[in-house]
Amino acid sequence: MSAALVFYLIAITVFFGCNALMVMGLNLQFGLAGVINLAYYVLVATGGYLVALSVVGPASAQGAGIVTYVGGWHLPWWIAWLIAGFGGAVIATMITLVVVRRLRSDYLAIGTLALGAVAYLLIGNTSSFLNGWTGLSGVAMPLHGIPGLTRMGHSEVFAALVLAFVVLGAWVSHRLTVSPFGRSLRAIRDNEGTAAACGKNVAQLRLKAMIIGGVFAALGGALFIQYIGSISPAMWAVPETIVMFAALIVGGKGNTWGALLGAALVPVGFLEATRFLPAIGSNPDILPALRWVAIGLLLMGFLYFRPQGILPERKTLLWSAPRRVPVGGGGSGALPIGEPPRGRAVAPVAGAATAGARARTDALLAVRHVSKAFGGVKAVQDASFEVRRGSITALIGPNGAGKSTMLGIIAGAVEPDGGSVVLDGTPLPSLAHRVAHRRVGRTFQIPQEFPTLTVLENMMVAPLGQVGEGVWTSMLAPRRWRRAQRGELDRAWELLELFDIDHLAHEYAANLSGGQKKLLEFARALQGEPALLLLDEPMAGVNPELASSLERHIVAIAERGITVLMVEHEMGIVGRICDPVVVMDRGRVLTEGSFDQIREDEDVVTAYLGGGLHA
Amino acid sequence: MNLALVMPDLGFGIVTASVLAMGAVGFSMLYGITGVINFAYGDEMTVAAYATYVVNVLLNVNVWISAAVITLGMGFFSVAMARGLVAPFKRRRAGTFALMIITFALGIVFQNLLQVIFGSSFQSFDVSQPRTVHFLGMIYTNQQLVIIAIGIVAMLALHFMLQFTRVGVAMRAMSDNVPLARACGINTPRMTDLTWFLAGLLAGAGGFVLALNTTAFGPSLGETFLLVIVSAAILGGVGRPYGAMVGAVIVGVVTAMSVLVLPAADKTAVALIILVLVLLIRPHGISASAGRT
Repeated sequence: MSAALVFYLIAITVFFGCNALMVMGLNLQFGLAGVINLAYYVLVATGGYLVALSVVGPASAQGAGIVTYVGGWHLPWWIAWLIAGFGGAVIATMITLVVVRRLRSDYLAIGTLALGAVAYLLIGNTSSFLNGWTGLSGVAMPLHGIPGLTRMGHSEVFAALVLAFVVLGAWVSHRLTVSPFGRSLRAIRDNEGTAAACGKNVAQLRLKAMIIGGVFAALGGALFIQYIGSISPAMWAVPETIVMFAALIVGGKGNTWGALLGAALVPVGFLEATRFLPAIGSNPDILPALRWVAIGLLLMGFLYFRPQGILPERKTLLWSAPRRVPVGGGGSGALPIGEPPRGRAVAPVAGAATAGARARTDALLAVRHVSKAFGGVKAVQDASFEVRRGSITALIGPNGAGKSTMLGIIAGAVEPDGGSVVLDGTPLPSLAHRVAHRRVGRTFQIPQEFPTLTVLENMMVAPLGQVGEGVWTSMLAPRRWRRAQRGELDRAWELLELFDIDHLAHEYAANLSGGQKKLLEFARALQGEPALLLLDEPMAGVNPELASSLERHIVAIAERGITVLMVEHEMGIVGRICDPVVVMDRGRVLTEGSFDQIREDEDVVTAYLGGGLHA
Repeated sequence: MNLALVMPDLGFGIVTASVLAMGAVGFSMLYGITGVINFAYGDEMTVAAYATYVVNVLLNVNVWISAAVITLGMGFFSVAMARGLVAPFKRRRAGTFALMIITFALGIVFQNLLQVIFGSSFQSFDVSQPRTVHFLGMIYTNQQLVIIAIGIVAMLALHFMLQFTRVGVAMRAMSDNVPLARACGINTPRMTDLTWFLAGLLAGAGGFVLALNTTAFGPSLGETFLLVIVSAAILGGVGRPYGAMVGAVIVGVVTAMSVLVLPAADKTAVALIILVLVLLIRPHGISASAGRT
């Protein structure tokens, strides 16, 4: 091989490797965690600048006034990598805390776009910080000056190092993707509120994904700058981020192989393919401009014809077939619930199975003087009631009475303006995931699923404190989390069988019918082994056959020691299974008692018959 | 502060605000009524500026006539964009993110096509030598006065349309609730077309005055200006044309006045920092009433 060809191959290898790291990082942030970060290239630039500052030495040594920047050291190249990676993590944390935590979808995109542009303009305009638009140069390639290695020799070694990084990065990215950590991230991406209701700490998990993505970006940037030797703002202008998104969209988001393919096709493919086009005219700007035009058209074409990319996120089928083990003792139809909890970081079941004298008398949940207003609408006003341990308590009232708001407040999804909610003697926080960890499960008025997860995966989001939900266990101990989730999987299958949707286990939840989604939601809530189950209109939009089956399930749930609080409009079921019944009207708790008492209550009758007009 | 130093910058701020108002109102209307975040809007303005340049300089037509023709043309161009590009994606149920990326890609295509055709050298219109006019300590060229006038006329016309015509009421209804507007018998596809048309007109006129104000422009004329537009639109509250007007005045004046304390090169950064702060503190903008979420 000629020397020129070898040099060219090395250049392509390094260019691919750096972009592969960057696209994999974006995949973690966007593909898995669903964060639209249009300031992504700022993270790449962070790595580039830090690696440059680490090795070029102080500005004063380069001649007074010629270049100006802060810092500048002579550190070994591998320490420069550490600094770059750490810097990427810090900047990613800052972007997350400032904008990602507070903004969603459109506004998040606009906010991050603005942040990226602000960084670009300020660093370019401020010549004393990082030498402005000129940037830093003279970054030596690692291994430079090692005896016995020619210029050619050490770039070969460097290319090998870059590839080693890609392999390591792909390994990390893949392990994270397939683990419970990745599953939780995908759940958050699909449906943030429901993920929180399943006990996922949305802010924290998203921050972790952003940080790991930031490290990938910074390392990609650092290696790239070490190869080409200089960095300036022109290299990380806003549209560069779009190239990363283009790579991910073309390759296929949500999986490591798609990210790698995208990196090979878009940044590398386009630069290299256009290199061989004949020069058009005398204008040197034409070729790069045409390249941008092509990338823009490619992006539009892919989003139209194949929005999922060439290698789309695949269905996760970790478990091939249901394990039909006979259920010990209970036989078929028994609820596989009420066992001691596995895993860690989970509050003990609040006396769930210890039915007895105590269980029949004391309150599991106490709502005390809770109020909530939305603008001028007082949805809940000074409401107080208790839910007895082991009971099926109904919360009824006309439309607009504040029932769903009340359920949201108990579940921690809605922050009350005043008052408190106490579970088993300890106040519940106004944070959905922490309430879930206190063993409060819930269903929603309109079924909420994770549409791009399979039914079985939907179930597997629910277990609390899973092994492999952390970054380190998911990366380093796949056997351990696989073993740990085996028991949960068995329970998931049993619950799916119980609700008669086990044949749909490997179907995407998005494809389920309304009734099936309702059943899935029930099963998922039970998978979390709740002590208290909040049901928001379980019978709404359900056919009579399914309704009677759900009714039996609710009774069975209560018989296993799970306390139920349900909002319901269907009075037949309330009369048959609920006791006591709490009545709300216009934000206030009107009265409570047995269904028969309630039916005789004049206030209740006038509330339901529109007596509010002359009350 | 010395008034004699402040007034010229205030004057310049009013010119910027006039340019900005057209862009911000167009962007905001599109976002509010059609739900599309049009990241190509800035580059549409560049297209308008270049098209006006072609008619004015290469075809040797009077600059004001060129601008009027191109402004009208941009209206139709914008509708074509909506029907040819945005509508097919919407029919495929493309999400907000996909549409955002598509308009971004479209902007990149516009900008780089202009680069291929015209190169990166700067162009300017063929206009008569400017005369300066002094007014309350503010110094204007006669062209800048025309820019302000165009801005005011455009905003007044829009105001009358929104308030006193059936079309305007229909648009405001759509901005609040599209399905409900449709159920009330509003011809929403036609209103969508009309909104794109108006946004196109505003991009056309806005692009022309932006280029006129910059005097010499290149293919990246609208690229960074887009973010200033977004800043004004978000500050005013998305989908609120009057808010966008107020936002344009605030952003225009604040960025122009920032040169008193900051380097002039940081003007755009100031606008972007306003944008980020508004998003964090009051994401629904200054004109959103309390309780409306």
